[in-house]
Parts: sequence; C-alpha cells; structure tokens
Amino acid sequence: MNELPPAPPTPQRPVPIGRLLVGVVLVALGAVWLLDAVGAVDVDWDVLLPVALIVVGVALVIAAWQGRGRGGLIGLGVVLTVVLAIATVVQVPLSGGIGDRVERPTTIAEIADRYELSIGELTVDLRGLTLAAEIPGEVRVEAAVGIGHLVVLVGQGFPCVSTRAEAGVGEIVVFGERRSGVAPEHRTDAVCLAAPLLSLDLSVGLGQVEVRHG
Amino acid sequence: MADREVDRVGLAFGVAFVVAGVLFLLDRLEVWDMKASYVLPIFLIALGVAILLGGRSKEPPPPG
Repeated sequence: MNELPPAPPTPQRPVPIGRLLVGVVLVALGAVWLLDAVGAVDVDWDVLLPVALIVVGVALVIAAWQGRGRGGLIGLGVVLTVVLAIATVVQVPLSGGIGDRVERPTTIAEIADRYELSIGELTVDLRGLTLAAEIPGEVRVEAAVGIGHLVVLVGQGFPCVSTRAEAGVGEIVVFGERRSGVAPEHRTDAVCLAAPLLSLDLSVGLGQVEVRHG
Repeated sequence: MADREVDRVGLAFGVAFVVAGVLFLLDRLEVWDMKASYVLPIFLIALGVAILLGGRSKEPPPPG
C-alpha cells in the first residue's frame, strides 16, 4: 500500500484587518445591546454610536495605512453615519415612548423637568395651571417630540410668553405665526411688565410644534 | 516583505468617519450644537473630500 507523501501545508491567508475589526465591532455592539436589553447595564446610545463610528474610522485608517483589506468597514461606517445623521436631524428622544399623550399640570410643582415623546402627539395643556399666592418670576416648560405633533396650550393667566421652538424638518406655529421647511426656528423674547413669564423650550424632529391659547 | 501601497480611499473614508464621529460625540455631550442645517453640507463636504482623495489612488499608467 502506497502511502502518499503528506501534502505540503497550505499557507494560511491572513484575515483582512478590516474584516477582523468589523467582526469585533459587531460582536461588541451586539453584546452591549443584549446587556442593555436584559437590563444588566444602562447604555447611553447617544454616546456609544459616535464612539463606534470613531473606532471604525481609526480601524479604517490603520487598515488603509497598512494597505490591507477594508473588509466592510466603509459599509459599517456609512450605516453608522446615516443613523447618527438621521438621529441628529430628527432629534428623536429615544426614551419618550410612542402614542398620544396629554399632560395637564395643575401646579408649578407638577411641571416635569422635561416632557418627551418619541413618536406620536404630545399635548402639554397649561390652561389649568394655577399659581400659588407667591407668583414666581418665571415658569419654564421644556418638551420634545421625535416624530409627530407637539401642542402647547397656554392659559390666559400668563401675560408674557417667551418661546424657543425648533424642528428638524417640519413646521412651527406659535400663536398663528408660521415657520416651515428644514430646521425652522422660532424665538420670541417677551418683555414682561407683569410676572410670571412663561418660558417655553420646544422641539420636534420631524413634524409640527404648535403653541396656542386654548 | 514588500511595502504595501496606502489605500487612499480607505484612508479618506477613515478620516471622514473619525471627524464625523467626533462632531456627533461633541453634539451628544452638548459641547457643540450640531444643527440639522449643518448635517447635509458637512456630509456633502466629507463625501467630496473622500471622492477627491480616493480618485487619486488610481493614477494612469505612464505613456509608452
């Protein structure tokens, strides 16, 4: 029985550094996502995604400098860039929830630090807001909607309203004054002769901001 | 071992991703306010730079 000579060892082709790093980045992102989903860690995606993009960029520079394969790094970087660009333009508050919601604070103490809704219609109804005997100089209300409609209803108890409203793409209507298009803004600085000043800080990513008297 | 040629396309995209990542990070950390109206022009500039740098990687063969 003839024995064949052992085959010469085939030289192993090195894994392209790009593909290696894409794999590492995807595994790391998936692991962090899973840990976040099961509640083991609380991940701040607003910071993690830009950091992932920087890591991809650095890996790409290293791979390019060594003249080694990109292995999908450009594709991964483009996907991350598009996701971040959309999130920046649309300004979606990721933790705000989905649906229609109405907030009706009746005292200044009940006003939340910030009202947020990811997708849907958020109405902040300030018409029932009663002021204590000691009237504050300023009452601040901050609200944001990612995609949808943000409505603020102002009662007659506020003689002065200062508004800072912005939208990624959409429309802003403040007491009938209308702005629309890409990144419309509306700012009014009220000169107040009588307290309190109602200061509104409002934003919507994609949709409409509306401020009106009820 | 022969020197490998620098991949200019990869280099351009890499630098663009790092710059974009830093800008997005500064925005998220509220160090810099990246407005919606900034995003598209910056994206176009980065794309143009990447195309310009990438286009230089394939030089035409010498005549003759």
